[in-house]
Amino acid sequence: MTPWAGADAGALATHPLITAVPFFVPTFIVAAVIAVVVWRDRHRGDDPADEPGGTPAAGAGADTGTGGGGPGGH
Amino acid sequence: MAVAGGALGDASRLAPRAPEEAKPAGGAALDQILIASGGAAALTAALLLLGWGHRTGRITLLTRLAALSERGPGRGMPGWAALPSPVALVSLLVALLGMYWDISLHISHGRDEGPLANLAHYPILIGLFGIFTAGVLAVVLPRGERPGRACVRITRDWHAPAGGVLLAGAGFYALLGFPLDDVWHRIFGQDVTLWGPTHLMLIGGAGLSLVAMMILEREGRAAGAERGGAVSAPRARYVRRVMLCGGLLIGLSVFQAEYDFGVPQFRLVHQPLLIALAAGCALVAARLWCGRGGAVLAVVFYMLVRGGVSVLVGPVIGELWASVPLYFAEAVLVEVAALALARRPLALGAVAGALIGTAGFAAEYAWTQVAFRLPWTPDIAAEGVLMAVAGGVAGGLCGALLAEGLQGRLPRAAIARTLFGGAVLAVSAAVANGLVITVPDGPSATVTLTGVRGDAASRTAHARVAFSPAGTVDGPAWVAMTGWQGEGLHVESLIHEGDGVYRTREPIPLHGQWKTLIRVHDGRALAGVPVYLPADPAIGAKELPAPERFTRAVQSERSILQRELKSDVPGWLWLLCSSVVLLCTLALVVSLGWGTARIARRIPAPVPGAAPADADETVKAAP
Repeated sequence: MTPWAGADAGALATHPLITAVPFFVPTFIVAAVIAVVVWRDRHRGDDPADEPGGTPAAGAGADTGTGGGGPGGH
Repeated sequence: MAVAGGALGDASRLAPRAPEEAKPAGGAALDQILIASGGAAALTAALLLLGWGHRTGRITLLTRLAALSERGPGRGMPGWAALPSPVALVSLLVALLGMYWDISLHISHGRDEGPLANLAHYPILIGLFGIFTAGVLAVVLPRGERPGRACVRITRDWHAPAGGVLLAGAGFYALLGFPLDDVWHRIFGQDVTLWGPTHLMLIGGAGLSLVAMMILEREGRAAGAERGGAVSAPRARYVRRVMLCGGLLIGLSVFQAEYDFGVPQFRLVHQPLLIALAAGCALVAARLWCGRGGAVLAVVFYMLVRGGVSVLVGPVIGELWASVPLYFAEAVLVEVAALALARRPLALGAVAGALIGTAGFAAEYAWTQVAFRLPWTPDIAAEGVLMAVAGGVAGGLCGALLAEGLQGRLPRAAIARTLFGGAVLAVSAAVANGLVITVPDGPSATVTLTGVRGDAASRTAHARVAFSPAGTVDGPAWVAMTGWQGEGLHVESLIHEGDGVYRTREPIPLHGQWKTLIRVHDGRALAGVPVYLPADPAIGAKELPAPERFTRAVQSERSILQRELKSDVPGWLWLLCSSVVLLCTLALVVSLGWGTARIARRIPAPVPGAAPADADETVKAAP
């Protein structure tokens, strides 16, 4: 299991982290994107709902999911 | 920047690589970064595109997949719970296989030579990424509906199930371990041990993702029951829950892997603690959440999966064999205790835990005699039982709290938090106790080689070991000859010939990349005597040959087993880095507790006597 068989000459020894990059970088970016979405939503404040009429997702106001009312699906 | 790069740079600038070239010990390269970055960009784009496309309605793939998943075993649950489940299941299996394979490779070959040399990293990474993706699916899927009463708000029009958020969080935490691992190695040198703090993040994230999946299952079932429509068969529900609990047992057992392979770098008493902890938590939860027989069937699932992984890693891939704790006795004990205590979950947790710590300990003791490379000995009986009882009771209480939370019946917050906090403290204290190690100062061992065979490249011999003073070792936990990292593993308990004298059963390897040492463990003493160590230019270590007769001091084995560790790192730095890992871990554990409490509060069990239309059938499942 020699890593150097056929490896290009002059390449420095590599590190297991390089293999991991394609997996943890997307994870961090996606998590960051969702975090930004949440942050922007919270900082938009309690503006009254102004979505177009057809969206069934029009949740009631700016509550934070306090579950008194039934499920969102009408 | 190049802390270890100096040595690395020298090694690489030397003449062309010979077959037995030096192994690098801590650098990073630039060439592969392009490929890695390309892969990262592709996966990022895929996830973001699918997510954005789904939420804006432009891409219907996820909607169609979710609809598909609502048939079959996912019936009765909405797509946002039904689709992530199989994704997470397959991911966990892949990650588990990768982990045991990777551990085996490090034991038999030593530290990584480079990313492409260790194939086992790929299934680990793919599996952990799959867990994260399953969580993201659950978060992104719900459109036009609130996914259950315990959902969390992303935006005004976007709510996510709590279990989905936690599942993504567990995957994120696990993958965070990879870059932190790199930082750790740069500071402290490569730690070839399972219980490096950053390694524990990888394992813990995967294992605890099972709790997130359980929460998601509960949210899905409750939401499915509320909206009507197809109902899942009780048997499918039972099987699903048994698999989740069995999965939790597996996840919690990964921490024992060094003991499974026979190369534990810590005191033996940790093993009964960890076994009892895993059994208490997962099996009590199984009995309470699945119903009668849940504990036993969870162990059956565990045996199939863990046994399957051992068979794949050992005989099939050709790596080492990982033994498996039996757990059946503990399951039977839980079931028996439940005959009397099923309706008193906290009492069941405590009593079953105590039984696991005593009778269960005895059963595993017997099992290790036949199944493990380093069986338990009378030396650890007293302390082992105490550790096992602590682990069993703590685990049992946590398992009971988890099961009750999943059914909407958590006790009062004050009680639940006290019990949970107490359990965490008890386990921490037990682990700390196990970590108190003494190294004998003064004794030495005289080793005489006999039956030396082979030339320098294939040298083996038998050995007779005489400790001085003879009373150095008295009824030990183990006196073993261990050779590893020479493309194989050699572990055997030495035969006690007489007063302080031991001898080998089989020839020991004294050539190539093998690191061979005598390991002594007696009470709190944990030490070793190096026999043969190869030269290791990358870390500036010279060869330690094995002459036909030599006398060496009994010494700390850490520097023998983990030669790559840097010895000049200030203690405060270790404390700081460990604290970072501890904080991340606490964040995950507390989040899971928060999630359990949230669904217990928002999706409570129906009050007996009332007959709400959206009664969750799970209440009928647990007798």
